[in-house]
Amino acid sequence: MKYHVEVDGGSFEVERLASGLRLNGAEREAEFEWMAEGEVQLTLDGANHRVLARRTAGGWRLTVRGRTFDVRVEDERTRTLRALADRSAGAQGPQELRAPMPGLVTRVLAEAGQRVDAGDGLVVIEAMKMENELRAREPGTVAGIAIRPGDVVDRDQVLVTLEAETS
Amino acid sequence: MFDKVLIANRGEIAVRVIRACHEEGLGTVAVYSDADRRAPHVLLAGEAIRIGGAAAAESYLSIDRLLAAAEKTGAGAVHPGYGFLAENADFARAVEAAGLVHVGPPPEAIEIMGDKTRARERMVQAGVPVIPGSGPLASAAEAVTEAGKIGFPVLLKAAAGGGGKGMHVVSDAAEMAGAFGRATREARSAFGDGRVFAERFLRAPRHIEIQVLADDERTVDFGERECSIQRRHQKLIEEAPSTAIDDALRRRMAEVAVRAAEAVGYRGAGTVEFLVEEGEFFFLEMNTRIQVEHPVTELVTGVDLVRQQLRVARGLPLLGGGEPPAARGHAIECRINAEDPAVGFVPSTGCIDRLEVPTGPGVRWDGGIRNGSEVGPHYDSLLGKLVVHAADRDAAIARMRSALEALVIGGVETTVPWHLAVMDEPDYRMNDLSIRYVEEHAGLGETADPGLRDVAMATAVLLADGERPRVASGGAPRSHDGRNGLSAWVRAGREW
Repeated sequence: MKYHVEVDGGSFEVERLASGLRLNGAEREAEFEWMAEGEVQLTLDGANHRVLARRTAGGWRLTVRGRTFDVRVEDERTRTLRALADRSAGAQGPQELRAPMPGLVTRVLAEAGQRVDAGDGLVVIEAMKMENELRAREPGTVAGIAIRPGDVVDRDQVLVTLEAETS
Repeated sequence: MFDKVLIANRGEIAVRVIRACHEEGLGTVAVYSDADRRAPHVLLAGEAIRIGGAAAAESYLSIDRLLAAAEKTGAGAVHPGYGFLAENADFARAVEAAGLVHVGPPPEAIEIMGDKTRARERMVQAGVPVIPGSGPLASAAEAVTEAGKIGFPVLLKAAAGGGGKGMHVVSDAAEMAGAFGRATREARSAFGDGRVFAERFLRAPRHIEIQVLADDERTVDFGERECSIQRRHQKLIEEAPSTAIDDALRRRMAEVAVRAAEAVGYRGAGTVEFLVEEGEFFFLEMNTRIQVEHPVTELVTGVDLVRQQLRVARGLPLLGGGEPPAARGHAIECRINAEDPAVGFVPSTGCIDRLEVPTGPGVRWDGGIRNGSEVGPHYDSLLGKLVVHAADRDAAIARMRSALEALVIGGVETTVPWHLAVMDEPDYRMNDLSIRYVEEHAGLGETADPGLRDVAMATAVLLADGERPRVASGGAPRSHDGRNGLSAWVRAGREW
């Protein structure tokens, strides 16, 4: 079975073989064991790796030597089906800027109706005594602002909605 | 004499102080905010008192609430740790006014050292070298004259400002006219005050500091710490001793540090910070508290600095008869912060869902977290300090590397990958350091080793494949949370 893997902004094909994997074109011996909830021991070509594993919406969040990877995995079949479904649904819609961490809103840098470019600052959140400016990922128009300076927000709370530019 | 101490702090330093109190035979009172009910310091202390909301202003910074907690529990002394109220002279005075012992220096010493201008004046009087500088300059011509006295290169700085605005490095007299004009204009527009002054520019100084301890009789130096590796004035790695200074310079710095402490009537533990370049050293500031990086000194001297603080506060003499202890071996500390080094050290919050700390000879963990701890936005990002001690610097680096690899923290991003990258970085290993190390090595630890990415990909694919029903029915381990992520209908559908 072939799998489509997305990690660190790159896409990769990985094939499951009888005794391991084909990874970056090379056959690798691989097996794993669940050691405890949230912890996997991976053996890759004989080398031991301890991996913390938590499920995410599209795959796994894996931590190896203190480094965290968000890995999306899809088998070939599911991927084909999803591609068909996406095409019929039409993917455009409002973009949401969500809080990456809980914190205090110190400043709101945009107004409803304002046009913004990718990289423009939208909201400043203070967390752990540091200010973090959250920026627009794509150009668009600010459709709504859900917070005000002084608000305490939770992680993943929607802060600003953007109507993406139709190209 | 008191027999119970209230620890006006949280996190790893509160844990550290509570341990020292217990070893001194003293009772302990922890205080906590609503965010810290289940924090390690609360569990470790003999008693614990809730003092208010999660915001520091409502809890750890509230003098009234801290003093009320001390009164309620009958604590006779208050240890402020570091941060929060540790260098607040008003707090020290309020503690004393309440009839309690402040485990720290006299309020006057805190006050003088906390005021940059007064501290500099007092240090100059005491013969402590400060960075040579001028008063406000009236013209470019005067700037050239003053710069000649100081020695080029000089740094032009706004008298009213800070934060790098209006700062210009001037390498010789020919550059001065242009630079003086620019600096003056920038200072006027940024601060509404065009006055500038000149100061000796240090190209690549090291930050080296001297630990001092003073009882009622004498002030003793406990050797130096090398703390050049810092980001935005926040130290990340500290070592003891510094292998960049020789014994003669070490002795001179120690003598000056003792003189600086004596000049403000110091008592207890304190640190005199210097910038060091080409055999010269200049007073930066004095920290009038126990410091985050105190463990490296403890490991090489074998002296428990917090217990010494408590002894001094009880009016007892320092242990060791006032002789400066000799350093043995080499110690390194890495600050493990909840920050993501891959994206500019942005703070990371979440629940610590896994914590395993390394053990073994010469490995110490001073931590403020446990399994299940919430790392929230209210306090600083320090999770704990990994500290190692070995025979020499190379052995200490090797030991730190192994210890970092064995440290497992799940649930938040940490500075561990960055520290691992530093332990392998040639300039660090060669001890070629300055306070500009972090900026000069920007990007260190940002990108993951492709080998680690392969490990992640392999794991993800094996986990996904292992969850396919035909494999799972064969008795393979269930997924970690017992759920499959897919509904039974979807799974059934995929059989076909």
